Amino acid sequence: MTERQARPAAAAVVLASGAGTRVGGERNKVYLPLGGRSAVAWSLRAFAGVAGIGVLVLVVRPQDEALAAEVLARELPGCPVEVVPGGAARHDSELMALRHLAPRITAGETDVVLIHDAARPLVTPGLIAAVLAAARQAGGAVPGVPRDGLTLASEDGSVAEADLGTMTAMQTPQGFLSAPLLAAYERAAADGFAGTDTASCVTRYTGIRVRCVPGDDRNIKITYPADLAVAATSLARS
Amino acid sequence: MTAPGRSAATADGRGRRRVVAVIVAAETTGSSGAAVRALLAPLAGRPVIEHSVAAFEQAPSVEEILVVVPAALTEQVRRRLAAGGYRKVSRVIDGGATRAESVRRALGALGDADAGVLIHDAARPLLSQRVIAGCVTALGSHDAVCAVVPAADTMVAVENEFITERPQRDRLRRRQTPQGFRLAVIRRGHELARADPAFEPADDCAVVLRYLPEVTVRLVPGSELSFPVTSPADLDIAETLLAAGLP
Repeated sequence: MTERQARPAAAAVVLASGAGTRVGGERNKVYLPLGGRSAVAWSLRAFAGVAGIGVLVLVVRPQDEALAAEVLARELPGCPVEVVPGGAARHDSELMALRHLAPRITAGETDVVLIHDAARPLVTPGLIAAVLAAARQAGGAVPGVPRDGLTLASEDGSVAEADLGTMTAMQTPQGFLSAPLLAAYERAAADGFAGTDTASCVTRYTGIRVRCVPGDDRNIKITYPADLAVAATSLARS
Repeated sequence: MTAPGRSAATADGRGRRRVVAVIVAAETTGSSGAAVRALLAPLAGRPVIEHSVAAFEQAPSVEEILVVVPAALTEQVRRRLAAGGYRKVSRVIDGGATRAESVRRALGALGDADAGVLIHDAARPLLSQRVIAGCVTALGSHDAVCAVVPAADTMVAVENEFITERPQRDRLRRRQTPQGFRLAVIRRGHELARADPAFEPADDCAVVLRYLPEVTVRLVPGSELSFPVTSPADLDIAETLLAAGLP
């Protein structure tokens, strides 16, 4: 807390605390090699390259702490990353990251928090900067890409109930002013509410209208085994 | 490319309608040039469109394949498929200005006998036998079926740059092709859609959901690997997946 006079900076939180085992294999997918480095390292590297971001936080599963430290030392030497153990669900991990940042948020040193899924290693510094700028201006911002051909299925999934037309698929990073974000998560914790993504919690507990900025079709989420091949191909081209 | 003999019979020995695959290579507004190039681009040794033809040729439940392509490409595709020796391909016909118009032309070319029609986008070359079989089976008991996968991303509605609405994520599905229909049903749907020039359906299910609300659209599992190939980057990805032995 020695830089009270310094201009506040944003904090980037990369979430690697999901099981990430849908791609198959024992090891969490975000530490698998992908075009020369792990998904975790690709994401952190993108955030490190954006002006105005002062803190990098990586949220990990408690059992991955040693693995994460080893991967960071090897793939991002000299890059300061604060490793925080996460919780059972995405929402719990976000809360733990925000509590880790709480002293700096309260002191006014961290003005915006950007929350990113480590399973999106193709995020670019340009997209991060756009979300950061929009979050500072609107209070909350998420990247989105248009998707059509979406159907609302019946409760049991057997039949189509409606064509939803064109919707927006949300990506990460999602960025928010830090003080209302922290307050929203503390209130959600008191209520026992858990959102599927950061914007859902902010919408529920604050008056912030979340702005959608153009996302990037390359910024895919690695969910299934084939996605690893897709991401590697994409990284190789870049 | 000899047309297989088509009798007036509407069902095989087990009482099932004959199944025709319609492969649509549509002229898409804005990106037609790129889409057409992708259609004929080599993928694992053969043009993108030929992968779908080969998949239906291999499917035991499919009797006939009709291919509809932008008029400028008809001759080229016809020659290529003839050289490939695909027995089930009955015709390669000229498409229209829109995807819907191309589908209407294909449906018009199918005659009056009752049939099940599997409509598939040529831009999705990674078509698995599992998905074809799933569609045909469901088409045995429903007038409309659609291959879908869960929506992995969180979807929201956005108005004037701000998020306004969130549908229930666990009930969202992304539609793929094939989509299967009883011939008379999809013909009726497209006739009704034609009267509404403002409606540009993304696919044939959208037509049924909008104009034939009384028809139940049965959802069947699609494939996460089946994505539309429309750019050089997509071709690289498809090549990678095929090299890995997928789908």
